Amino acid sequence: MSKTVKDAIETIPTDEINSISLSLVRSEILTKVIEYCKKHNSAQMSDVDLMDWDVEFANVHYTTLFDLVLSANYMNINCLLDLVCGKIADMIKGKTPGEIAKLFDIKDVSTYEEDN
Amino acid sequence: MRSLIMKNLLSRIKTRRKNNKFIRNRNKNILKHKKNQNRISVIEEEEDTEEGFSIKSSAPSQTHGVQPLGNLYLNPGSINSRDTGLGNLHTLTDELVLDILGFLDGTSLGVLASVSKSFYVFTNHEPIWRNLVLDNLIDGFQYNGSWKSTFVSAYYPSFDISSSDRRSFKVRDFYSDYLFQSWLCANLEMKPEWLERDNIVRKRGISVEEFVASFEEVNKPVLLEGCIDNWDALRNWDRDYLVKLCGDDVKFAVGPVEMKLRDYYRYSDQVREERPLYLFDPKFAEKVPKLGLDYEVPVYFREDLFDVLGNERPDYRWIIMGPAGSGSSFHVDPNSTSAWNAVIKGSKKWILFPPDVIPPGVHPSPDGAEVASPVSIIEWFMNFYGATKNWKKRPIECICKAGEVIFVPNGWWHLVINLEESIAITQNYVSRRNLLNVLDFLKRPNASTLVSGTKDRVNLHDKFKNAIEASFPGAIDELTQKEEEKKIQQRKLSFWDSVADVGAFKFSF
Repeated sequence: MSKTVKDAIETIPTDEINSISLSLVRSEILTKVIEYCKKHNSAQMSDVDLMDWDVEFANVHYTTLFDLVLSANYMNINCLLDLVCGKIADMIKGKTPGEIAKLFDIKDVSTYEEDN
Repeated sequence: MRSLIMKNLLSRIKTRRKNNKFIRNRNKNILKHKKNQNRISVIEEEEDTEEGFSIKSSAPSQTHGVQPLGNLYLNPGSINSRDTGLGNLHTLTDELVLDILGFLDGTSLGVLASVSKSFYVFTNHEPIWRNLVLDNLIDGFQYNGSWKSTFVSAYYPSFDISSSDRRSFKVRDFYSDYLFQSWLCANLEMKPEWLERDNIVRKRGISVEEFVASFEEVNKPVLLEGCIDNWDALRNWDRDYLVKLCGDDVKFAVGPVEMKLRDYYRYSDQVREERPLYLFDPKFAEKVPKLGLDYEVPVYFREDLFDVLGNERPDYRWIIMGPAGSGSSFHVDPNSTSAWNAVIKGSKKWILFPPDVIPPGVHPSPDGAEVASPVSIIEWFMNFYGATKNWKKRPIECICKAGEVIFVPNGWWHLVINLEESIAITQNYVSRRNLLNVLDFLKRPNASTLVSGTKDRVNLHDKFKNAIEASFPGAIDELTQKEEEKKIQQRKLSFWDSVADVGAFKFSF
């Protein structure tokens, strides 16, 4: 599921692989990523159930979501990346500018109008 | 004029699937992105310095004032309003921020634009709006100066986009390589030195036999002159004629949408972007039969064995129309077919690499189903063309002008860019010389992803083989036998070669 891991495995001779370095991924996040991959690989759930599971999976604090975005990008797992990006986008939809600024802790709310 | 410091453009990669759909690109290595500190000058004038680039004189002044990161590092103490305006999102790369915005609808993007300068710049990134248009306005669109304006005027007709959009607001202190490079690639001119090399073999008036023996059989490209002089298309095809002929009822395929020719011209006249859309329709002669009558297949390519499939043959002929800068990044043609491409108007720059040489900057997946390469064609030229100068495996290059036809043998990598607004016709075909290759290709286990131009990918091999047997009984066996004999001959030759060379070690094929 992870293209980065797949590429690493394909380029290193199998008897030399002991570990693959994923230096940018913290262990707690990697645990979540593995959980996601295992679930999606097992294919035991129906599509609808899997979608519900995804929604639950992505129901975390947004700082965790950001970490997941970075990790899914680094590990090149497109479906996970789409899931978490979509979730962050959902957090933006329907909010006012002030609420969005509060959500992402944006202190610099100067706008283009002030530069023009 | 402020000089913009940037060197060695970011390597932005996109991945292309064999059936021509672009996957969103992924900047896999975040470290690489952050490390990419940049140092050449891009001079915002029409000056072609040694290291600088030449910006089109008609380029709009830098959209929103985005500067490359290099400028930030030259201004100690400066703060990047990109980061401060994104809040906690600033840890994400530009691409990831854009990925998130790609999930938003027009209204949400509008709201987000007023949160901060940073979001204003991001939400005005044209490719986001291009995707919204292409995903939603699949029956065609009226281009309105920008993708954003096009989308807004279609979906929010009461919103007066013209007054707010024409004034392009500038922001200070916003530094981003990705966004800057996007603007840069949309506005760069092709450098003259990229167009100098022209080493393809050119032939005029050769016989079919000579073509087959010297080029088709040995899988070598050639540029054929004078073989379409009798085409009515060469005489007739200009905008007025085509718009009148096609009328407003016919729609042609332009990327993922279908649109009227008139609307396509409206877009191509106004557009300024990295990868302009081009009109590429495999059913043009079915939609407007007169178009099919205005040309005929050059004599060299008339043997086309896919004919045996009649209406069930995969897509095989296209009309291509595109503005300067449009074109196709490196790819190999589908189904292992060969192709010819005839320019009717305009001119195209071609770069070709033989099947066993992967072009620099291009990364095909092991099964060949996906190809990763730079985001735009200009980017490939900027980052990788120089490498080909000193390579032993130099590409074949040429500029193909109106009235000329290029032969692209099967398996050859090729990149094409329109140097001006151009119209061309291209066809893919299978001759006896290529039949076994094609059958082999169609037989592959992953045919369902690799085979293109038909809805019946899995069964195409059997259908084709049976149809050939029916029309040309024994032909496949005959060709297979010939191939075997050739291989034995070659093995014999190489054996004798090595025996004769006692004491010397020699490679032979």
